[in-house]
Amino acid sequence: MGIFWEVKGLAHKTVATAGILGKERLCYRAVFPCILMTIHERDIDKLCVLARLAIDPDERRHAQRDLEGIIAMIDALAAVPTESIAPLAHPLDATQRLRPDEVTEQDERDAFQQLTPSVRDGLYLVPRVVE
Amino acid sequence: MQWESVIGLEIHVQLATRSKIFSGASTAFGAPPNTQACGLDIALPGTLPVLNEAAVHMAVKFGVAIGADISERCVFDRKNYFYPDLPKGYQISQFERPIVGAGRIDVRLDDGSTRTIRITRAHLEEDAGKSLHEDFAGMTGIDLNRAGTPLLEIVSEPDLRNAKDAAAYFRQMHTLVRYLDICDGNLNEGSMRCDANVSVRPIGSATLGERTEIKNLNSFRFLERAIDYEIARQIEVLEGGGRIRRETRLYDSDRDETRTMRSKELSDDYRYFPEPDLLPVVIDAEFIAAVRVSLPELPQQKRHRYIGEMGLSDYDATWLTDDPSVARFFEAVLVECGEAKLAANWVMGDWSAALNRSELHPDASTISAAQLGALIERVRAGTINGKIAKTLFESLWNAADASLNIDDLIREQGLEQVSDTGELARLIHRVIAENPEQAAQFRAGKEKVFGFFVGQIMKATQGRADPVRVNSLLREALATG
Amino acid sequence: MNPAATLTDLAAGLRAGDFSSVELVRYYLDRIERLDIHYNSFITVTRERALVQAAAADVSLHAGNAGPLTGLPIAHKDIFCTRGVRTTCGSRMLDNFVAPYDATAVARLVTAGMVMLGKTNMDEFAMGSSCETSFYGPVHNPWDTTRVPGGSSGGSAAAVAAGLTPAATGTDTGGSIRQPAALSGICGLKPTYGAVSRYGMVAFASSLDQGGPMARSVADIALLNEAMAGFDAKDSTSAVRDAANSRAENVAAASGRRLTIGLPKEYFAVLADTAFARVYDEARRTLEALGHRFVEVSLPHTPFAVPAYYVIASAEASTNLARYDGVRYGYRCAAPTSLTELYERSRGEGFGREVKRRILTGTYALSVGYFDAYYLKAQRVRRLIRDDFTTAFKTVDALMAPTAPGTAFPIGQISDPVEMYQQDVFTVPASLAGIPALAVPCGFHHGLPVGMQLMGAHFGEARLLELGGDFQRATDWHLRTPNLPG
Repeated sequence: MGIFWEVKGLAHKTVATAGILGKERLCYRAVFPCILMTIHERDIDKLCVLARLAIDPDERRHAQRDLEGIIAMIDALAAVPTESIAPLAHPLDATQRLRPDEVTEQDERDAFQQLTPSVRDGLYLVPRVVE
Repeated sequence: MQWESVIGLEIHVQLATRSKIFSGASTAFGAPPNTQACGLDIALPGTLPVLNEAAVHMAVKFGVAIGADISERCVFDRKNYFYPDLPKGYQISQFERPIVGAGRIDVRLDDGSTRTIRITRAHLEEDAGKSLHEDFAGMTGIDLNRAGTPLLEIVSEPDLRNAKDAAAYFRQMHTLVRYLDICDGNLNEGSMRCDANVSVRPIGSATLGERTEIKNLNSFRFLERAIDYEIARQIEVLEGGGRIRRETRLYDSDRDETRTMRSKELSDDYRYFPEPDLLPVVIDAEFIAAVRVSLPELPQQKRHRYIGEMGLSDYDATWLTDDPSVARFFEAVLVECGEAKLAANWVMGDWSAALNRSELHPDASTISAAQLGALIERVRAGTINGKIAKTLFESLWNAADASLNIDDLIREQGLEQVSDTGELARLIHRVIAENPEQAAQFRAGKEKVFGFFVGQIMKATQGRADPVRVNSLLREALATG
Repeated sequence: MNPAATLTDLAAGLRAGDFSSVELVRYYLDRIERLDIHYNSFITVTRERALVQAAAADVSLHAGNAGPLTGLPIAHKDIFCTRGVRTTCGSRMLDNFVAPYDATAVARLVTAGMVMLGKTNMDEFAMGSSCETSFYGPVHNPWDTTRVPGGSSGGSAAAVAAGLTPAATGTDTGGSIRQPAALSGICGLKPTYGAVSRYGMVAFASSLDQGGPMARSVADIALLNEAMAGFDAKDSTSAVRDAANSRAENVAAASGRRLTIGLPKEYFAVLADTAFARVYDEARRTLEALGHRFVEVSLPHTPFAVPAYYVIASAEASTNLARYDGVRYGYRCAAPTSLTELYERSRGEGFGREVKRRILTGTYALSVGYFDAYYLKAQRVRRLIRDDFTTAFKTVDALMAPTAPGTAFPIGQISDPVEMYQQDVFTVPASLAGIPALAVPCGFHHGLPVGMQLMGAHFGEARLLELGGDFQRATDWHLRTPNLPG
């Protein structure tokens, strides 16, 4: 991806109110040596390609500034010691229920394709893809 | 420079469930476009995935069959990329915690030796839809019927060393999944597809060369040819001082070559993360034990049993166990006729030929296993001779009526073998007496005339004479005059 | 008829025959037609359909086989799929999308006999705290139309507050039911994660989204929650519900139970405005007078909730919104010359700025090299936040806290996204932990509504509704209405 980090002084934009410089934070800093990051406009371009979003130059400027601010806010997480903490994907510790192997859906193509901008012979049309 | 090739295969097996892995739409092949693509399959806003229990069962079955660890708690992940046959913009797959861990399978190679190929893992994921590029005036048409069909992706370690071995491994997997009843193995319909990771390195080198991936090979033959081409291509590049670029390639069967897959040139960061619409799947020891109990006799075991207990040859055993439907038919025939070698001959000979002529699947055989078994038994017992048996086989095949009884047919058509010595001797003497010229010719040394007499005797008995007895009695009669 | 009538009042009126469902529904439809010009709270009004549904409800009512919600009107946030009715999510991307099926939450309310008045305005794809990002224009707070109603369920909040509907559905991912309820002076419940089916509720952030009721009184909330919540096989994250929870009777009957209520010190510590804070002191005193006891508790990881939330929500949203590509439904750009152009322009033109911002943030957080530092890190912090609540609920029955850091602010005042995200500082912790949280009006500050937030343990809705109901028997904040034109 190539988003390049630059150290911009020791000023920390975010409010890391935990106030604990735990082991975790030192380790984090060892791996990511900068506290503050700059996101370049070209990085925005790369993200836009990944996310298939077209933005104009004005939007790109704003996005770059906005994202920098948001990432700075998110960087506050670095202050929390979490070495022994497992990630929590779902708030409740539930497990997946299995569904019986039965056909329960019927053909609704006509209804669905009322919603389709470009369709022919039952197929969804997109500009030609060359493989 | 001596080169060796290193090959690993990723086989995508379409699991034979009735409904899709996350939705209740049908997985039946051949429906008109987008008539089996429900709201979830076309990624309508607000739709959600729910996991099909049969897909889990089948994956675990496979894992048990290859002696692999089954994950107690596995997770689904989103693999994010944009492509029109992927309606959600991500594929639900398994990244770090697949349902099946490391296992192994013994592969019988072309030269008769056996090699253990290690399997790294097997995971569940959903299939994508299909793109149709023809006839749409600069547009591509997308059919999402296939989107959401459950796939088991089986990843092998790079343990294969040449194209033939790779094809043997693919074949073995093809047999195994059909035995396990988790896949119909219909390569034409895309029930199994293979991606091959190929690299070369100087013999003796410990490091792996850069690899390329050849995608979507769906026949044993194409797999072999594609790999052979790619190995040769890579060697040529390296010997010319070039470097292999890691890339995805497609095999063009018309030109018999591989080429770079254009759409994959932009390498995507898949941004894997756990699928938040699904919860972790817990598989307990009880579930695994129940699956283990339900496993059928596996192809390897069956082959060994045919060789060891039935005394069949390696070749015959391999032939008969390649397709579980054939093995099933063979074993049912054996129950009736009691003799493995005879049964093998008939199954591999007349029956197989009839199937091919009629282009039928073994399960659609118009002669039942019981009928064929009974037929063989009557030959063995001497009730009918071999030639009559073949005629009877044909009529049974054409009649396609499993209720027809062999003995009734034999009796009704008067097909019993004539083997009574006295009766045959009388007949032989009569034929010799009626044909004095040929008798004289034989006694004068024309050996070929023996066949004429055999023919006459067969005609006189409507083909029912016991050929072995006729032979000895006729010789005796001619010799004594 | 009184535009501030509660569902409970209206249900009694229908049963007594004071008016029919058709008359009632007509009344609200007329109000919408005349007055929504001031608030812009509706995107679609389903007049004909509503009258047909009302007529059917009247038949039930006469036949004597009506339920507690039969014939009562409701508006649905335009994020719920409603069969045959436009469902836009406040976005140009779905401006032409007519849902071919009903969300489960909607279907349950239809089964309960409710009549849909229409679809309410919202922040685009539920991303926002002010209802200023909608493709259909901002929503105006009935208490002061120069101000925001809160978001993202701002249309629903404004419609209820203005008496255009007695009740509405909303969705809450980081506070989108509770904060607009508080800013608009009504009640709103974010149920326990998994209590209300997400099937048919267009996804923003899958592990956080919950649909819930918004209405004038806690008794109304209880009625609606009972109908909306419940296990749904079509949603893998749907919870098997404890039937004893949130029964309406729990609210109606004053149980007389004295609860221990925790005051999370980290929440109150950041309330800068002391006059604003005093509103909560008053509310506390009211509850104390009713016999409840207050203790201070600590939820130490609170300061990290907003960053953790924004990582997780953006990451999930960035992939949930990948399906909007102009191919099978929704907005498609004109004359694309390649597949890439089709995607980039349909999405570039179809999505608004805030949505694009969050997609980029989420894409970034999930990227190779950043995944561990952002996404995984945020999920670890999420566990710590949830554990803070689990610990607290060992010693208290419920928590009481502010809902929003202030009252309704002027439209257009906050343009910095990070500043806007701070609106969620009190609401995102409950979202991350999946616990239920109820917003209840508890006073005014400079003439604008203030709401308190009651939080409970998982599936502890009943206790919150009991407590809220208790409070509303002793106060009348929830009965206050803004000066409504006409």
